[in-house]
Amino acid sequence: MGKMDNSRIKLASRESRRAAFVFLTVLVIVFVLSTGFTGFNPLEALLAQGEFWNFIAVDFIPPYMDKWEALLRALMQTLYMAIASAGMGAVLALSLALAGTPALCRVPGISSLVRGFASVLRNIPDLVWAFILVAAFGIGTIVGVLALTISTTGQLTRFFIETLDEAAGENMEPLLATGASMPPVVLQAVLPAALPGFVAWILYSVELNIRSSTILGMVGAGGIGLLLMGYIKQYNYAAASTTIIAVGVIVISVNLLTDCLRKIILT
Amino acid sequence: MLPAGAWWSCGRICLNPVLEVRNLKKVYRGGEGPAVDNVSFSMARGEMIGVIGPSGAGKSTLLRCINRLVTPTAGHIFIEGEEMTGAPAVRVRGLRRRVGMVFQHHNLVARLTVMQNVMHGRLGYMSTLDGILGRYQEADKKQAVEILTQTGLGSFLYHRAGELSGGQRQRVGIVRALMQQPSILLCDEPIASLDPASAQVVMDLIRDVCHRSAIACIVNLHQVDAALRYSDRIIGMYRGGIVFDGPAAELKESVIEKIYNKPIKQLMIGDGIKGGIRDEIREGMHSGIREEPHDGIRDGIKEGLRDGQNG
Repeated sequence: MGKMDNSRIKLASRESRRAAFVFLTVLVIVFVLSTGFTGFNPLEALLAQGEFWNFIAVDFIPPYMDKWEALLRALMQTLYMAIASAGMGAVLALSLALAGTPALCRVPGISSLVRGFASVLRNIPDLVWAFILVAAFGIGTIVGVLALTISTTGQLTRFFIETLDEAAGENMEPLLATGASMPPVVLQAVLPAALPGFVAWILYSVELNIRSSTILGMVGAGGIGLLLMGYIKQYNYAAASTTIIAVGVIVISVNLLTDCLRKIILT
Repeated sequence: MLPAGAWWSCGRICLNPVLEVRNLKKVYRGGEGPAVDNVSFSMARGEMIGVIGPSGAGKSTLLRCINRLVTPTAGHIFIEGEEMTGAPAVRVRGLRRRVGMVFQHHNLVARLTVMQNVMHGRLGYMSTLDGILGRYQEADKKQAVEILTQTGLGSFLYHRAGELSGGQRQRVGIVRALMQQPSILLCDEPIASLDPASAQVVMDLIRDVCHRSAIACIVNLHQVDAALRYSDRIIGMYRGGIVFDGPAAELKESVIEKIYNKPIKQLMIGDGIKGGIRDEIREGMHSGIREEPHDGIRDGIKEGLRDGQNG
């Protein structure tokens, strides 16, 4: 028996097993240290739950709302903001992505320039854009639409470049082989092939924008977030809880709708 | 009647070759040695060449150098007497129109209809603006419908390419290439991902457009038996160079061993070849194989193309 144990067959090399072990150990250490530095105590969180549920039960329940019209108007504003910014972002992103896809635009350096620009737009959070823009434009939906358009453009540019790159890989060679020049090849083959991908990404950014616009509203970008922030500041928690439920309903129904659209478009 | 240019009379030297490749060499950056090395051959109108050789022998690179999807490192390529190598982009596009290409994975736009895919073959002849807007000539569309009908795809005009079977897609790919009214057809592994029945339909179609419409066809193949059955002439490649160039009947076992660098027993190339298939082919040269086909499709294609040229 002992002999058999000694000759146990390993499925991976000693080096790769050791590398996996070291990687996991480092990961656990980093996680534990980080949690320690935040001063977060899981026990405390458990003990404080009573207060939390008390707050929910006493202040938030039952939801109450007397200004349905204002709520509905704010909800529609949020929806419009999300859709408008996704649309404008998509148009801007498409132009950027066409220039930024190396397979389509062979001017050297353009691709890295576009990618860099998109990355700046994307990596500055839309909340920060909203803060900056509120200073310039004042409180209102314009700020929300602009902030969301900027971040949508950043995200979609990156996704569109990937989609175009994939579509170009399969579809460009045969059309170039017919002797066609680049613009017809892009319009007749690459864009049609990339279209389902584009639509899926645009729907995704509509979903994302609805969620973001709620938070953006809280810093003055209009829509449902602005309303919610108002209720909380007035300690009108019953109205706030109604607003939160309304946001949940909108987010879920838009997700269901986009899932449905995606299925129709992709098949 | 045999087409002008007489495919059968062409050996290694042709008068008025439709394609001439001279000392072609391609070295990829970072590649080990040249992918294509000192390759020279020429071919006549309506000739069908089967190119065989192991993976990495340079078959695909050779085809892509001919229409300059790959830029050759050295050497010359003449298409109907006009030099392709070193030509400026506009001339290259003009020459590419005369060279149709068929791909292993047919490379159709899956979302577009059969008609839309087939019409892409006309883009090389159109102005950039017409191409962008997809303003195809009615005469061209009519011709597309005719050729599709003759190739048995008449009831699939408005099906999405993605809905078709592999064999049907490959036929659409061939029709797209035919819409260019090419003098040369390059086929890169056209049957590599097809079942045997579809493979035969596709190879029949390629041979027919080759012989009926006098289009010179170069077909890269992994199937040695198919190459022997369909080609007028075989080119065997090994490590970028041509190690055999001659009639299918002359492809001896020893030559096959040289091309694939393996003893014949270790090659899955169909038992017929190891035995007596070459005798059959030799006989076929004189009797059966090159007979006028009775199939309406085949004559139809020829007429369709002729009509298109007139119209």
